[in-house]
Amino acid sequence: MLYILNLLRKNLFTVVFVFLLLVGFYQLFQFNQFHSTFYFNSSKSAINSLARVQSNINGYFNLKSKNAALAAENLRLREQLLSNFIIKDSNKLFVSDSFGKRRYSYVLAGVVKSTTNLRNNFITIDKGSNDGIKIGMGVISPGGIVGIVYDVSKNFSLVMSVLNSKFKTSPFIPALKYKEGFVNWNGLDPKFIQLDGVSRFEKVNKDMVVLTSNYSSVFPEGIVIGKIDNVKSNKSNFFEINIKLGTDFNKLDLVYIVKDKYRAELDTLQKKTIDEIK
Amino acid sequence: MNVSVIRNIFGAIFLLLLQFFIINEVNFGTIFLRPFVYFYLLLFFPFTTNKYVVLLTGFAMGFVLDAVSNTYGLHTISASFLAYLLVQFQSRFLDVDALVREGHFVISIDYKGLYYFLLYHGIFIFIYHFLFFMLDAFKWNMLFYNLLSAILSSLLTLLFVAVIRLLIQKRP
Repeated sequence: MLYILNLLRKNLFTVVFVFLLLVGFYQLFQFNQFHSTFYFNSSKSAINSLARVQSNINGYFNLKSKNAALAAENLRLREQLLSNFIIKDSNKLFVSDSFGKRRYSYVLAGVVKSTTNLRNNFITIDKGSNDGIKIGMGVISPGGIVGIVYDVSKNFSLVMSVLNSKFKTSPFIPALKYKEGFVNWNGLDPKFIQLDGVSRFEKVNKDMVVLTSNYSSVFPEGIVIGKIDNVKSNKSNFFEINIKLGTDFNKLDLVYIVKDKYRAELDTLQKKTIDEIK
Repeated sequence: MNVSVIRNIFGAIFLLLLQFFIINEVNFGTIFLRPFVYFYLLLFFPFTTNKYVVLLTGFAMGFVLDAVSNTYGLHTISASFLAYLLVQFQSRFLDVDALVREGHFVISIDYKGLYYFLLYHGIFIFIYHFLFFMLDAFKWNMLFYNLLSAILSSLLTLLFVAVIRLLIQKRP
């Protein structure tokens, strides 16, 4: 015992160092192995008020491009308005209120802090559990998908960006009606994301639009992921596809959080089925 | 004594703010350039500093930067490791007592010239960056990219360190 104590005292510096290292590694493994949230993140820290001042200043620098993006989105939405269509068949004029139930609603939020230069990027936004935000909700922008809510505090949320090695979603290529594979970032260029698992017998071409599919329980169907930029075939049965992201993450300022009314129901059903199979 | 403590605390806060608000925000145009300069303080702690102070400063600075920039322990690990490595290296491979007697409290440019200065600090800066990028990617197949970004980012940080040292160096 005395020997051990002596040994400890001789190597106290190293012992302290190992202890401090464990504090860091605990957070790292929480994130990498267990896919749970790391405790010390910006949804909790007080630095957000400082970061907000910074984002307020930065917000002025690209007002022009932001306006253009919002105007483009407005145009797209305006074209979907019912008043644009002449309804020829008088039988179909009825638009009953109970015809369709509303599934998705959206919450507007401002970006407080966003990174693009790490391998696992996060975005802090200024809406939290007070506004009904919950972990796992999808986040989109006028340009396309942005990420998934990862952690929530009262007034802020931490969003796992598309530019994160843990992010995965299922794509839909409307030109081919193709829904297999998944979208995941390789960690190199924040303007491009990779699409894996597309069979090499498909006629994939440049400039095809990639949308979110209805297999995803996070995003509504048909949100833009991006445009196919280049297609490489290798020895395997699948293409290597680069998608140019619809969202410009370097200029991200306003985002919409997707609230899915049926999410809880869907999740319990899926969980029940998986539990039964087990 | 007290003056240097206060100066170091303000220095640490200034470096963290510089890192968080300016250097992390600059878009260098490529993902391979991600310089970290906030551990400048660790590199230039005088040899007479208590080794626990060096270690805990490294840990605290890394921890704060982690909490605000959502890097889940990457800076904590890298900065603690750098501080430990610095202390161990100085106590084992440098004749600290002789250096202090000659009036050298840190490895500065006028100790053995610019070349030695760049090599000594460059190695430590490189180790920090490489460790950070490896932990961030958490995959061995990114080794080449990590090596490249560590080398490029270290060069930028080294330039920053050299410029700061040249600016604050006392004229003879």
